[in-house]
Amino acid sequence: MRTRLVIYSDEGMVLTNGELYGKQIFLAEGMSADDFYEISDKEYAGITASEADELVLDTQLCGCDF
Amino acid sequence: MATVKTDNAHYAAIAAKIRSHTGENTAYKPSEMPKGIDDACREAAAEGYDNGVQEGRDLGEKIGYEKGYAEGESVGYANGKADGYAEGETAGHAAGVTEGKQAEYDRFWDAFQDYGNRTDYMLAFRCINADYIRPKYKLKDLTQIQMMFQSSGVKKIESAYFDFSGTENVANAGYALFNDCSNLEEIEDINLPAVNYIGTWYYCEKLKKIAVVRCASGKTFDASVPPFYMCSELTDVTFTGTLNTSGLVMQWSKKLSRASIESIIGVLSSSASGKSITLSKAAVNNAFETSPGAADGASSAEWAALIATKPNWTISLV
Repeated sequence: MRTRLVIYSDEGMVLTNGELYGKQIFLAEGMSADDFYEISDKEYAGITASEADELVLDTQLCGCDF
Repeated sequence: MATVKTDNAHYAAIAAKIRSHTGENTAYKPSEMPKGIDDACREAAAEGYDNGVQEGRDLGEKIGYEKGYAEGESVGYANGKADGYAEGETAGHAAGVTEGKQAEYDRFWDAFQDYGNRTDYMLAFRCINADYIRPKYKLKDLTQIQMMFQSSGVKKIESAYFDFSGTENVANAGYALFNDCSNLEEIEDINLPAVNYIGTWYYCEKLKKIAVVRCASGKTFDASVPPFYMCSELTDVTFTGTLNTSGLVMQWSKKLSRASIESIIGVLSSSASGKSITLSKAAVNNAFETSPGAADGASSAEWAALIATKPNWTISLV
Protein backbone atom coordinates (compact mmCIF):
# COMPACT_ATOMS: atom_id res chain seq x y z
CA MET A 1 0.00 0.00 0.00
CA ARG A 2 1.29 3.39 -0.87
CA THR A 3 0.50 6.55 0.99
CA ARG A 4 1.01 10.06 -0.05
CA LEU A 5 2.82 12.51 2.10
CA VAL A 6 0.60 15.51 2.74
CA ILE A 7 1.97 18.70 4.17
CA TYR A 8 -0.06 21.54 5.63
CA SER A 9 0.74 25.18 6.13
CA ASP A 10 0.16 26.88 9.43
CA GLU A 11 -2.68 29.31 9.82
CA GLY A 12 -2.02 32.49 7.86
CA MET A 13 0.82 30.90 5.95
CA VAL A 14 1.39 29.34 2.55
CA LEU A 15 3.79 26.56 1.68
CA THR A 16 6.10 26.95 -1.28
CA ASN A 17 9.19 25.49 -2.86
CA GLY A 18 9.71 28.62 -4.92
CA GLU A 19 7.52 27.45 -7.76
CA LEU A 20 4.53 25.71 -6.25
CA TYR A 21 2.31 27.28 -3.62
CA GLY A 22 -0.34 25.73 -1.40
CA LYS A 23 -1.91 25.36 2.00
CA GLN A 24 -2.29 21.60 1.68
CA ILE A 25 0.07 19.81 -0.63
CA PHE A 26 -0.15 16.18 -1.65
CA LEU A 27 3.44 15.39 -2.51
CA ALA A 28 4.29 13.16 -5.40
CA GLU A 29 6.30 10.06 -4.81
CA GLY A 30 9.89 10.99 -4.30
CA MET A 31 9.13 14.55 -3.20
CA SER A 32 10.39 15.70 0.13
CA ALA A 33 8.69 18.00 2.58
CA ASP A 34 12.11 19.49 3.19
CA ASP A 35 11.86 21.21 -0.16
CA PHE A 36 9.08 23.43 1.15
CA TYR A 37 9.05 26.46 3.40
CA GLU A 38 6.36 28.87 4.51
CA ILE A 39 5.57 32.43 3.53
CA SER A 40 2.79 34.58 4.85
CA ASP A 41 -0.54 34.98 3.15
CA LYS A 42 0.37 38.61 2.57
CA GLU A 43 3.59 37.72 0.84
CA TYR A 44 1.75 35.22 -1.28
CA ALA A 45 -0.89 37.79 -2.22
CA GLY A 46 1.86 40.12 -3.33
CA ILE A 47 3.35 37.46 -5.55
CA THR A 48 0.08 36.72 -7.32
CA ALA A 49 -0.67 40.43 -7.73
CA SER A 50 2.64 41.07 -9.45
CA GLU A 51 1.96 38.17 -11.76
CA ALA A 52 -1.36 39.76 -12.64
CA ASP A 53 0.41 42.85 -13.93
CA GLU A 54 2.37 40.85 -16.44
CA LEU A 55 -0.53 40.28 -18.74
CA VAL A 56 -1.31 43.98 -19.01
CA LEU A 57 2.30 44.83 -19.70
CA ASP A 58 2.66 42.14 -22.30
CA THR A 59 -0.43 43.35 -24.07
CA GLN A 60 1.04 46.83 -24.32
CA LEU A 61 4.37 45.49 -25.45
CA CYS A 62 2.76 43.65 -28.32
CA GLY A 63 2.44 47.01 -30.01
CA CYS A 64 -1.31 46.93 -30.12
CA ASP A 65 -2.13 49.71 -27.67
CA PHE A 66 -5.65 51.10 -28.13
CA MET B 1 -126.39 72.36 -90.79
CA ALA B 2 -125.49 70.86 -94.17
CA THR B 3 -126.38 67.28 -94.94
CA VAL B 4 -123.62 65.18 -96.45
CA LYS B 5 -123.61 61.67 -97.78
CA THR B 6 -121.49 59.10 -95.94
CA ASP B 7 -120.96 55.42 -95.87
CA ASN B 8 -121.91 53.15 -92.84
CA ALA B 9 -118.55 51.48 -93.25
CA HIS B 10 -116.82 54.62 -92.01
CA TYR B 11 -118.89 54.63 -88.82
CA ALA B 12 -118.20 50.92 -88.34
CA ALA B 13 -114.51 51.56 -88.75
CA ILE B 14 -114.55 54.43 -86.27
CA ALA B 15 -116.45 52.31 -83.75
CA ALA B 16 -114.03 49.44 -84.23
CA LYS B 17 -111.08 51.75 -83.70
CA ILE B 18 -112.66 53.08 -80.54
CA ARG B 19 -113.17 49.53 -79.24
CA SER B 20 -109.53 48.61 -80.10
CA HIS B 21 -108.37 51.30 -77.79
CA THR B 22 -110.90 50.71 -75.01
CA GLY B 23 -110.70 46.98 -75.19
CA GLU B 24 -114.46 46.75 -74.76
CA ASN B 25 -117.20 45.47 -76.96
CA THR B 26 -119.39 48.51 -76.62
CA ALA B 27 -121.46 49.43 -79.66
CA TYR B 28 -121.50 53.08 -80.60
CA LYS B 29 -124.07 55.15 -82.29
CA PRO B 30 -122.56 57.93 -84.30
CA SER B 31 -123.77 60.37 -81.65
CA GLU B 32 -121.92 58.35 -79.04
CA MET B 33 -118.71 58.15 -81.00
CA PRO B 34 -117.20 61.49 -79.88
CA LYS B 35 -117.51 60.40 -76.27
CA GLY B 36 -116.14 57.02 -77.15
CA ILE B 37 -113.20 58.61 -78.91
CA ASP B 38 -112.68 60.89 -75.97
CA ASP B 39 -112.80 57.93 -73.57
CA ALA B 40 -110.37 56.02 -75.77
CA CYS B 41 -108.05 58.99 -75.92
CA ARG B 42 -108.18 59.40 -72.16
CA GLU B 43 -107.45 55.75 -71.68
CA ALA B 44 -104.64 55.87 -74.19
CA ALA B 45 -103.31 58.95 -72.55
CA ALA B 46 -103.48 57.31 -69.15
CA GLU B 47 -101.87 54.18 -70.46
CA GLY B 48 -99.26 56.19 -72.25
CA TYR B 49 -98.64 58.13 -69.08
CA ASP B 50 -98.28 54.99 -67.05
CA ASN B 51 -96.04 53.45 -69.67
CA GLY B 52 -94.09 56.62 -69.89
CA VAL B 53 -93.67 56.80 -66.15
CA GLN B 54 -92.50 53.22 -66.02
CA GLU B 55 -90.18 53.62 -68.93
CA GLY B 56 -88.93 56.84 -67.50
CA ARG B 57 -88.41 55.19 -64.18
CA ASP B 58 -86.57 52.30 -65.78
CA LEU B 59 -84.47 54.56 -67.87
CA GLY B 60 -83.77 56.84 -64.96
CA GLU B 61 -82.84 53.89 -62.82
CA LYS B 62 -80.51 52.63 -65.49
CA ILE B 63 -78.90 55.98 -66.03
CA GLY B 64 -78.67 56.58 -62.30
CA TYR B 65 -77.14 53.20 -61.75
CA GLU B 66 -74.58 53.72 -64.44
CA LYS B 67 -73.75 57.15 -63.21
CA GLY B 68 -73.57 55.96 -59.61
CA TYR B 69 -71.39 53.07 -60.65
CA ALA B 70 -69.05 55.38 -62.48
CA GLU B 71 -68.88 57.78 -59.60
CA GLY B 72 -68.46 55.01 -57.06
CA GLU B 73 -65.76 53.48 -59.13
CA SER B 74 -63.98 56.79 -59.34
CA VAL B 75 -64.28 57.49 -55.62
CA GLY B 76 -63.40 53.94 -54.73
CA TYR B 77 -60.37 54.10 -56.92
CA ALA B 78 -59.26 57.34 -55.33
CA ASN B 79 -59.83 56.02 -51.82
CA GLY B 80 -58.23 52.73 -52.62
CA LYS B 81 -55.28 54.48 -54.14
CA ALA B 82 -54.86 56.64 -51.04
CA ASP B 83 -55.24 53.72 -48.63
CA GLY B 84 -53.08 51.52 -50.75
CA TYR B 85 -50.43 54.18 -50.86
CA ALA B 86 -50.49 54.52 -47.08
CA GLU B 87 -50.38 50.80 -46.48
CA GLY B 88 -47.78 50.34 -49.14
CA GLU B 89 -45.66 53.06 -47.63
CA THR B 90 -45.80 51.39 -44.22
CA ALA B 91 -45.15 47.92 -45.56
CA GLY B 92 -42.54 49.25 -47.90
CA HIS B 93 -40.80 51.05 -45.09
CA ALA B 94 -40.73 47.91 -42.96
CA ALA B 95 -39.46 45.84 -45.85
CA GLY B 96 -36.95 48.51 -46.65
CA VAL B 97 -35.67 48.56 -43.09
CA THR B 98 -35.28 44.79 -43.12
CA GLU B 99 -33.55 44.80 -46.46
CA GLY B 100 -31.43 47.73 -45.42
CA LYS B 101 -30.30 45.96 -42.26
CA GLN B 102 -29.45 42.86 -44.23
CA ALA B 103 -27.57 44.92 -46.78
CA GLU B 104 -25.55 46.63 -44.09
CA TYR B 105 -24.93 43.32 -42.32
CA ASP B 106 -23.59 41.88 -45.55
CA ARG B 107 -21.55 44.97 -46.35
CA PHE B 108 -19.90 45.04 -42.94
CA TRP B 109 -19.06 41.37 -42.62
CA ASP B 110 -18.01 41.00 -46.26
CA ALA B 111 -15.49 43.78 -45.71
CA PHE B 112 -14.45 42.72 -42.20
CA GLN B 113 -13.96 39.10 -43.18
CA ASP B 114 -12.84 39.68 -46.79
CA TYR B 115 -15.79 37.62 -48.01
CA GLY B 116 -14.74 34.74 -45.79
CA ASN B 117 -11.12 34.74 -46.89
CA ARG B 118 -9.70 36.43 -43.80
CA THR B 119 -7.60 34.13 -41.58
CA ASP B 120 -5.73 36.58 -39.34
CA TYR B 121 -8.00 37.45 -36.45
CA MET B 122 -5.44 38.60 -33.92
CA LEU B 123 -7.19 41.23 -31.74
CA ALA B 124 -10.12 41.13 -34.19
CA PHE B 125 -12.87 41.46 -31.58
CA ARG B 126 -10.90 43.15 -28.86
CA CYS B 127 -12.99 45.54 -26.79
CA ILE B 128 -16.11 44.89 -28.86
CA ASN B 129 -18.99 45.76 -26.56
CA ALA B 130 -21.50 43.20 -27.82
CA ASP B 131 -23.31 40.36 -26.09
CA TYR B 132 -22.74 38.04 -29.01
CA ILE B 133 -20.27 37.93 -31.86
CA ARG B 134 -21.77 36.07 -34.78
CA PRO B 135 -19.73 36.55 -37.93
CA LYS B 136 -21.33 36.03 -41.31
CA TYR B 137 -18.59 33.63 -42.34
CA LYS B 138 -17.67 30.92 -39.86
CA LEU B 139 -14.09 31.44 -38.73
CA LYS B 140 -11.84 28.59 -39.75
CA ASP B 141 -8.37 27.85 -41.13
CA LEU B 142 -7.06 30.58 -38.87
CA THR B 143 -3.48 31.81 -38.94
CA GLN B 144 -3.61 34.26 -36.02
CA ILE B 145 -5.94 34.16 -33.02
CA GLN B 146 -4.08 35.65 -30.08
CA MET B 147 -6.05 38.12 -28.00
CA MET B 148 -8.95 37.70 -30.42
CA PHE B 149 -11.65 38.38 -27.84
CA GLN B 150 -9.64 40.27 -25.27
CA SER B 151 -11.70 42.69 -23.19
CA SER B 152 -14.83 42.16 -25.29
CA GLY B 153 -18.31 42.08 -23.78
CA VAL B 154 -19.27 38.79 -25.38
CA LYS B 155 -21.39 36.46 -23.22
CA LYS B 156 -20.98 33.23 -25.11
CA ILE B 157 -18.61 31.84 -27.68
CA GLU B 158 -20.73 29.73 -30.02
CA SER B 159 -19.41 26.78 -31.97
CA ALA B 160 -21.65 27.62 -34.92
CA TYR B 161 -19.46 30.63 -35.66
CA PHE B 162 -15.96 29.59 -34.70
CA ASP B 163 -13.76 26.66 -35.60
CA PHE B 164 -10.25 26.88 -34.22
CA SER B 165 -9.12 23.50 -35.41
CA GLY B 166 -5.65 23.55 -36.92
CA THR B 167 -4.33 26.34 -34.70
CA GLU B 168 -2.11 24.14 -32.53
CA ASN B 169 0.97 25.53 -34.24
CA VAL B 170 -0.24 29.10 -34.60
CA ALA B 171 2.15 31.40 -32.77
CA ASN B 172 0.82 32.54 -29.39
CA ALA B 173 -2.55 30.97 -30.16
CA GLY B 174 -3.53 30.70 -26.51
CA TYR B 175 -2.21 34.08 -25.48
CA ALA B 176 -4.93 36.13 -23.77
CA LEU B 177 -7.46 34.68 -26.19
CA PHE B 178 -10.39 35.43 -23.88
CA ASN B 179 -8.53 37.61 -21.41
CA ASP B 180 -10.70 40.09 -19.52
CA CYS B 181 -13.98 39.01 -21.12
CA SER B 182 -15.79 40.15 -18.01
CA ASN B 183 -19.27 39.12 -19.28
CA LEU B 184 -18.26 35.80 -20.76
CA GLU B 185 -20.26 32.92 -19.26
CA GLU B 186 -19.82 30.00 -21.60
CA ILE B 187 -17.49 28.74 -24.28
CA GLU B 188 -18.81 25.95 -26.47
CA ASP B 189 -16.47 23.46 -28.13
CA ILE B 190 -14.84 25.55 -30.82
CA ASN B 191 -12.25 22.89 -31.62
CA LEU B 192 -9.49 24.84 -29.93
CA PRO B 193 -6.64 22.32 -29.95
CA ALA B 194 -4.04 21.92 -27.24
CA VAL B 195 -1.98 25.10 -27.27
CA ASN B 196 0.30 26.88 -24.85
CA TYR B 197 -2.17 28.57 -22.55
CA ILE B 198 -0.99 31.97 -21.39
CA GLY B 199 -3.61 34.12 -19.66
CA THR B 200 -6.14 32.46 -21.91
CA TRP B 201 -9.21 32.95 -19.68
CA TYR B 202 -7.49 35.46 -17.42
CA TYR B 203 -10.02 37.54 -15.50
CA CYS B 204 -13.11 35.89 -16.98
CA GLU B 205 -14.89 36.49 -13.71
CA LYS B 206 -18.31 35.29 -14.87
CA LEU B 207 -17.16 32.32 -16.87
CA LYS B 208 -19.12 29.27 -15.74
CA LYS B 209 -18.55 26.69 -18.40
CA ILE B 210 -15.87 25.69 -20.86
CA ALA B 211 -16.93 22.75 -22.98
CA VAL B 212 -13.41 21.38 -23.40
CA VAL B 213 -9.81 22.27 -22.66
CA ARG B 214 -7.43 20.16 -24.66
CA CYS B 215 -4.03 19.12 -23.41
CA ALA B 216 -1.16 17.57 -25.27
CA SER B 217 2.41 16.55 -24.61
CA GLY B 218 4.63 19.58 -24.37
CA LYS B 219 1.80 22.10 -24.26
CA THR B 220 1.82 24.22 -21.15
CA PHE B 221 -0.29 26.22 -18.77
CA ASP B 222 1.84 29.23 -17.93
CA ALA B 223 1.78 29.63 -14.14
CA SER B 224 3.34 33.08 -14.36
CA VAL B 225 0.31 34.30 -16.31
CA PRO B 226 -2.28 31.84 -15.02
CA PRO B 227 -4.80 30.99 -17.72
CA PHE B 228 -7.57 30.62 -15.15
CA TYR B 229 -6.67 33.63 -13.03
CA MET B 230 -9.79 34.93 -11.23
CA CYS B 231 -12.15 32.47 -12.94
CA SER B 232 -14.09 32.44 -9.71
CA GLU B 233 -17.41 31.26 -11.21
CA LEU B 234 -15.97 28.43 -13.27
CA THR B 235 -17.98 25.32 -12.50
CA ASP B 236 -17.92 23.00 -15.47
CA VAL B 237 -14.87 22.31 -17.60
CA THR B 238 -13.77 19.10 -19.26
CA PHE B 239 -10.09 18.49 -19.77
CA THR B 240 -9.03 16.03 -22.44
CA GLY B 241 -5.76 14.69 -23.76
CA THR B 242 -2.60 14.43 -21.69
CA LEU B 243 -0.85 16.99 -19.56
CA ASN B 244 2.81 16.46 -18.79
CA THR B 245 3.91 19.94 -17.71
CA SER B 246 3.54 21.90 -14.53
CA GLY B 247 1.77 25.22 -14.38
CA LEU B 248 -1.92 24.43 -14.23
CA VAL B 249 -3.15 26.67 -11.41
CA MET B 250 -6.87 26.82 -10.70
CA GLN B 251 -6.98 27.99 -7.11
CA TRP B 252 -9.47 30.78 -7.96
CA SER B 253 -12.08 28.33 -9.23
CA LYS B 254 -13.72 27.49 -5.94
CA LYS B 255 -16.93 26.23 -7.55
CA LEU B 256 -15.33 23.65 -9.75
CA SER B 257 -17.51 20.56 -10.03
CA ARG B 258 -16.41 17.09 -9.08
CA ALA B 259 -16.59 15.97 -12.71
CA SER B 260 -14.35 18.84 -13.70
CA ILE B 261 -11.79 17.99 -11.03
CA GLU B 262 -11.87 14.36 -12.03
CA SER B 263 -11.24 15.29 -15.66
CA ILE B 264 -8.25 17.38 -14.59
CA ILE B 265 -6.73 14.52 -12.61
CA GLY B 266 -7.58 12.27 -15.52
CA VAL B 267 -5.37 14.11 -18.01
CA LEU B 268 -2.29 14.09 -15.79
CA SER B 269 0.36 12.05 -17.50
CA SER B 270 1.17 8.79 -15.75
CA SER B 271 4.78 8.99 -16.90
CA ALA B 272 5.62 12.60 -16.07
CA SER B 273 8.01 13.28 -13.22
CA GLY B 274 8.36 16.20 -10.85
CA LYS B 275 5.22 17.91 -12.09
CA SER B 276 2.50 19.66 -10.14
CA ILE B 277 -0.89 21.29 -10.37
CA THR B 278 -2.78 23.63 -8.05
CA LEU B 279 -6.49 23.46 -7.31
CA SER B 280 -8.85 25.30 -5.01
CA LYS B 281 -9.04 23.65 -1.61
CA ALA B 282 -12.61 24.87 -1.24
CA ALA B 283 -13.54 23.26 -4.56
CA VAL B 284 -12.09 19.90 -3.53
CA ASN B 285 -13.64 20.11 -0.08
CA ASN B 286 -17.09 20.73 -1.56
CA ALA B 287 -16.84 18.39 -4.53
CA PHE B 288 -15.71 15.40 -2.49
CA GLU B 289 -17.37 16.13 0.82
CA THR B 290 -18.34 13.03 2.76
CA SER B 291 -21.75 14.41 3.70
CA PRO B 292 -23.76 17.47 2.65
CA GLY B 293 -22.22 20.57 4.08
CA ALA B 294 -19.22 18.81 5.57
CA ALA B 295 -16.77 20.48 3.19
CA ASP B 296 -14.17 17.87 4.08
CA GLY B 297 -13.47 16.52 0.66
CA ALA B 298 -9.73 17.11 0.79
CA SER B 299 -9.50 14.50 3.53
CA SER B 300 -12.01 12.11 2.02
CA ALA B 301 -11.26 8.61 0.89
CA GLU B 302 -12.67 9.33 -2.57
CA TRP B 303 -10.32 12.22 -3.09
CA ALA B 304 -7.43 10.12 -1.86
CA ALA B 305 -8.42 7.35 -4.23
CA LEU B 306 -8.61 9.77 -7.15
CA ILE B 307 -5.20 11.29 -6.69
CA ALA B 308 -3.75 7.90 -5.94
CA THR B 309 -4.17 7.22 -9.66
CA LYS B 310 -1.48 9.85 -10.32
CA PRO B 311 1.10 9.34 -7.59
CA ASN B 312 3.76 10.94 -9.73
CA TRP B 313 2.08 14.34 -9.51
CA THR B 314 2.24 16.85 -6.67
CA ILE B 315 -1.18 18.31 -6.11
CA SER B 316 -1.45 21.54 -4.20
CA LEU B 317 -4.59 22.97 -2.70
CA VAL B 318 -4.89 26.66 -1.96
